[in-house]
Amino acid sequence: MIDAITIAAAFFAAGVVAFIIGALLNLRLWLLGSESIPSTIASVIKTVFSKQLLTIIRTFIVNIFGQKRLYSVDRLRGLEKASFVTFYVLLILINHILADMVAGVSTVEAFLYEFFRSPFFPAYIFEEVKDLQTPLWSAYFFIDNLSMAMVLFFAELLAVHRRFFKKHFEAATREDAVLLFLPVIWFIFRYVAEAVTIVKYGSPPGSQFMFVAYAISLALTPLSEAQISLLYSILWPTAGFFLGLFFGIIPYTGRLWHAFAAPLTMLVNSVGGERK
Amino acid sequence: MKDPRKRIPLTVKQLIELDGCTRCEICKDECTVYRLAKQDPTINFPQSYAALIRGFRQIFRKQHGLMAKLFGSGLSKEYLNAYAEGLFRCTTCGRCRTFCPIGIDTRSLGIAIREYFVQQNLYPKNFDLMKEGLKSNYNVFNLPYTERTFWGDYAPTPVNFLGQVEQTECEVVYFVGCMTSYSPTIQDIAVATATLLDKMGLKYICLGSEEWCCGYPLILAGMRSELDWLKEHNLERVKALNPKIITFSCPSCYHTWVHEYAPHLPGVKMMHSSQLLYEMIKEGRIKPKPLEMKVTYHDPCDLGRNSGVYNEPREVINSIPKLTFKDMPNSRDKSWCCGGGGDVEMVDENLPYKLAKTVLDEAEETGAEALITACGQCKRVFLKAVPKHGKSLKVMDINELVLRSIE
Repeated sequence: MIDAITIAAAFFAAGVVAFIIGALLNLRLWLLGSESIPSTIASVIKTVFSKQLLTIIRTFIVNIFGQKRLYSVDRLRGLEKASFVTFYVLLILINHILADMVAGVSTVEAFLYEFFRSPFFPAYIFEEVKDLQTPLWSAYFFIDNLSMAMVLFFAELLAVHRRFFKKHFEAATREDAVLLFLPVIWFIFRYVAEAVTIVKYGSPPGSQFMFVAYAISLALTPLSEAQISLLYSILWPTAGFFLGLFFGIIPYTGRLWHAFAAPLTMLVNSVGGERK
Repeated sequence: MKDPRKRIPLTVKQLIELDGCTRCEICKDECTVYRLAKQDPTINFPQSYAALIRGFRQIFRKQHGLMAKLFGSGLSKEYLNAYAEGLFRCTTCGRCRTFCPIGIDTRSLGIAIREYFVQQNLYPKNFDLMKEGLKSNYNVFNLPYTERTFWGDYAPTPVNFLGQVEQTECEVVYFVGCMTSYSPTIQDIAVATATLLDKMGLKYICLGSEEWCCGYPLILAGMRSELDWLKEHNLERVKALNPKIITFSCPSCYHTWVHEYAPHLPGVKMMHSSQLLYEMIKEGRIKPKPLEMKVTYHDPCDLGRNSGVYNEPREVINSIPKLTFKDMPNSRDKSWCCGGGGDVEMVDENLPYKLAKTVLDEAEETGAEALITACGQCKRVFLKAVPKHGKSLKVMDINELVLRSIE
């Protein structure tokens, strides 16, 4: 029988393939612009290998992570978006980097294998890491759960508040609502899957730093070993499904694609020259 | 280079910007036209600039996406017409750009989208009248080109029109602009500017009937490709005079010359008249006398936000002794549009005067007795809007204010 993490990784891989196809289609549309494709590529290369790289890096830190422009217009929204972007990136990076370190990635094949598996790192960390009682792993557990909590709070709760309560949000549609809740569903499944994993491995030392999952795990302790195994094999693939679905549809909807196009806009405009 | 006939007028950067809009809707509350459209449903304008971008993104994808290649765009002419109606009601003031959290260059994007619609022959038909006027008489009003110098009759001293004066040396070319040359309510600006040039002791020339429209209305209409012949004529006339400076009392002409003409005139300084006045006051070539007045200043979009000239006009105003100056709550890059931008008057003749109310209300709030601006079109719109909204503000151009202070 295929194990739960392989199924979850397969869902994520399918999402990545869908993402790549969609992103290429979007790139094709961008390249329909008035400049020729070679001149566009040449100007990108020229920019990256010039002093303007410093401007790009500054924009990346100040405007994309710090959301300075939004903050200057609306402080609450600036704080919300800066936190959401920072914690999202932190969540992704910390899982990928640590999973690669644990696996001792040294080849491209191993990197690709880990790339698809690492979003589900908490599912196999107890299996693959023997000594989890170190500050590094405590920090990882804490940051993993904190990042999701922060994204849920800043991106979702405030977005829901802003869109459905604070303003008459004419642009809100059913698609908007579905897209807004996809990461919520993914995170909720991930939290519960982490809780099941903690119970499955008998609440290993350090697991209490996954403070949300650990709290959920306390409620799951009365379940039998068979029930926990069943939940483990259902919840991780479900989390993988929602992650794949969320990631895969990003390029096909403007409501999500802006997550990539907006930072790119900021970077391009930071070195884009004079406005006419 | 791509075939110009098939060329999409949007740049790669602008196509990325279309996708980059985060739908935050901040631009909504900062748009002067949207705020008015919210109260007056007869004004067809999208929910916000972001909605304008989103609408075009959808149109572009439906016309150029893979599905369009296979099955056609599926967009009806009515749908495109309705979109175009809203698009050409934007004043292209660029205020939304100031507030856009990701810094989309909304103004340039809007003009490029207009070009896209012009390519598809979807534009207000009044633009054809403007084009006709430019072809026949080289001005947007289609008034005889020989009448371009008529404003000179009101000047206290003879104006140095090209061909009418013997002048071997030309330091400054004063490019008057169609609006100031022909519109009776603002011809005073040309008179004041020429008089000041005289008083500053500068050897200046006005091109007179040899001055053709700078082409700015064509750019705003999305017809940039038809600009060249006007540009070539004006450049030829100016180059023959070999000036050091070209000055403009019209910010739109100034903006066009800085961006479209300046690369062809190396070493020639482009200065809006407020910048020239500032330099001259600094050098002591004119000395403003005390003027007891409370004034506020309106930043014209093409001078302030679109050209970055904010300080010089304020320095000039503040150089007048005994004059009290107070900025409006929304000034500099946050200043509201007078309503006269974006060729909107050709689409909806009453819209500019309705839009002007926002500025007039803020000007009144400052306690000023006069609203100073540095743009003929702004002055023209305000002059007409003041009585319409029951206001008692005086409206003056900065050149008129300075002239008054030295007389």
